Amino acid sequence: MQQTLDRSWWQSARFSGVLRYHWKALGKTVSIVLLVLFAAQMATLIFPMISDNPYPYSGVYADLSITMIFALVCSCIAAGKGTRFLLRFGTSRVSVWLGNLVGLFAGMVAFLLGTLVLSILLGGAVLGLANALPDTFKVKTLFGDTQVTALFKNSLSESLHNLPAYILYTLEWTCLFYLLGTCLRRNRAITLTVILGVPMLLMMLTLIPAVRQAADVVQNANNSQMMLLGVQWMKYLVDFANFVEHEWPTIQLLAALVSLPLSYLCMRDTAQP
Amino acid sequence: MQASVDTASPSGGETILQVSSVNRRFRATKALNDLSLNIPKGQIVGLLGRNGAGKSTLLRIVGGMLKPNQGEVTIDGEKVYDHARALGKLCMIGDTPDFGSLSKIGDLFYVCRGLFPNWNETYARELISRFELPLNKRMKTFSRGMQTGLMLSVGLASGAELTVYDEPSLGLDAVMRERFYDLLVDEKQRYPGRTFLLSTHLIDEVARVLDYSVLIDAGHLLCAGTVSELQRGYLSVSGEPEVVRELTAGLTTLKEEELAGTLVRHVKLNAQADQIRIEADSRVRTAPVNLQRLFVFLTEEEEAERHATNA
Repeated sequence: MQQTLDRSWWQSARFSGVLRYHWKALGKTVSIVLLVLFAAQMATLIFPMISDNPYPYSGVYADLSITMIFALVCSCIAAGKGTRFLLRFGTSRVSVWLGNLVGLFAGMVAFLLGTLVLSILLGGAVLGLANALPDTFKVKTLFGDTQVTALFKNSLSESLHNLPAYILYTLEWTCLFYLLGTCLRRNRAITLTVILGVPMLLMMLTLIPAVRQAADVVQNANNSQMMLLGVQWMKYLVDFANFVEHEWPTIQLLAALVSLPLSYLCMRDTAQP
Repeated sequence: MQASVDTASPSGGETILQVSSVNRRFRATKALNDLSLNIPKGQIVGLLGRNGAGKSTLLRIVGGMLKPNQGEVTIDGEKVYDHARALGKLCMIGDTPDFGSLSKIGDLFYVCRGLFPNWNETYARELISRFELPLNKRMKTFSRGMQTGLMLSVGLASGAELTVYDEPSLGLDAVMRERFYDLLVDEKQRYPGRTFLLSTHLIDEVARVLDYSVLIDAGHLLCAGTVSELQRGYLSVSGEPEVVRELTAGLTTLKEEELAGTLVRHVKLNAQADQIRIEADSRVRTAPVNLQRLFVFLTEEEEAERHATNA
């Protein structure tokens, strides 16, 4: 037997085992979901050939929204089933936490890039079919009179330009979803109560006094005072929306950074079955 | 009898696992009550106890899955909970097979190659054929016995310094259980540095492979020692009923069985001289008390003491 004393922290912590687990488990899920998406997209190409409707083409894009949904599901699975499997062999929590995050980051970025590649393949197929079968396969771009080839090229270049930002968003949201997964694993009831309850409570606390105040004003005020109140409200909402829009990348980044240590602390003291 | 309740160094050898004054509560239930014990290195150790004795709780603490309320568990002198170096020496096989999101045996072995630095792939594949497991079927479709067999194989092939099995024989048929015990003995002979800790309540079955036994009940240690150390002080005497009764008069009887005119009495000896006296009498046959009988006696004795204290 190999002497334990010679082992590095990485070997003792079984970090490569955690990554191997994600390569097998997450890698398979990513491949299957991408394959299903590809099959679904290719299936849509049949409809213009069996009906008179033109194919609605929107260009090349990396699908951030579907990646977000996928990240939410995978983070919850990794924080629950995956973590339990790895910890039950006697793997250290630091290693499982770090390995889960690295695995999820890699998996989600691969998935995002996969959606871009699928979109390019679909675009290629649309262009090919439109050129080969101009009578049966008609294409209508979703951006007015733009030509399909031009739309393909422009959207591809725009997607590549936006890709680093999309990757950053994916990583940030993965951190947040992983924290959610660890909280759900620890206590589902409390987590769901906080997630649903806190926003509702805040909304009620903010809205109820404001609505009452507005109702008082409406009952007692004249037209010009009501106009003024309306304008004030609009201004407040616009300022708030502008602030959120302007500061959103910073808010998101800070939230993601804070969620990293929180997810470790949460899983650290969660008893495993 | 309290062979190694003194936790310094069991049987004079090196200690791999040390449990010091561990307490663990689950709300009102005290699962472990100031439990201290040492597990010697390079031995097959049985952690024996009734259902609910605290065996699984102790093993979950050893495996770093549960934090004790008080006390400390160390492997080779290093704290276990959340410490990679100590946990790196451990392979924990729980009582419920769990494969996470993996589907095939090949995937599980691929992960094990990364989890266990001493993983032996050739041996793992050999074990799969010994347990008659299909390589290409999904693990979730395996019967409970097949899943258990697979997890037992992972533990054996892991090459970990300390391999812990919680109820290893659950779901296995008699043939497979015997096969597993034989494999365990073979593996320990091949790698004398490896320690196996088996938690079970099937004491008679596992007794033949154990080098060292730890008996726990109601969350605390009853006794610990090698099987012969534990058996010392107890004797099974069989023969003509009147002769047996005469020879064992004045000794505490653990259990008495009479069959076809022969009486078998399992007794607790007061002194070494009792054993010499009984064994010298040619009218009776003597044998060591089996571990299960001993365990039942000690548990009942402990319960009686507890009730007396509570009363």
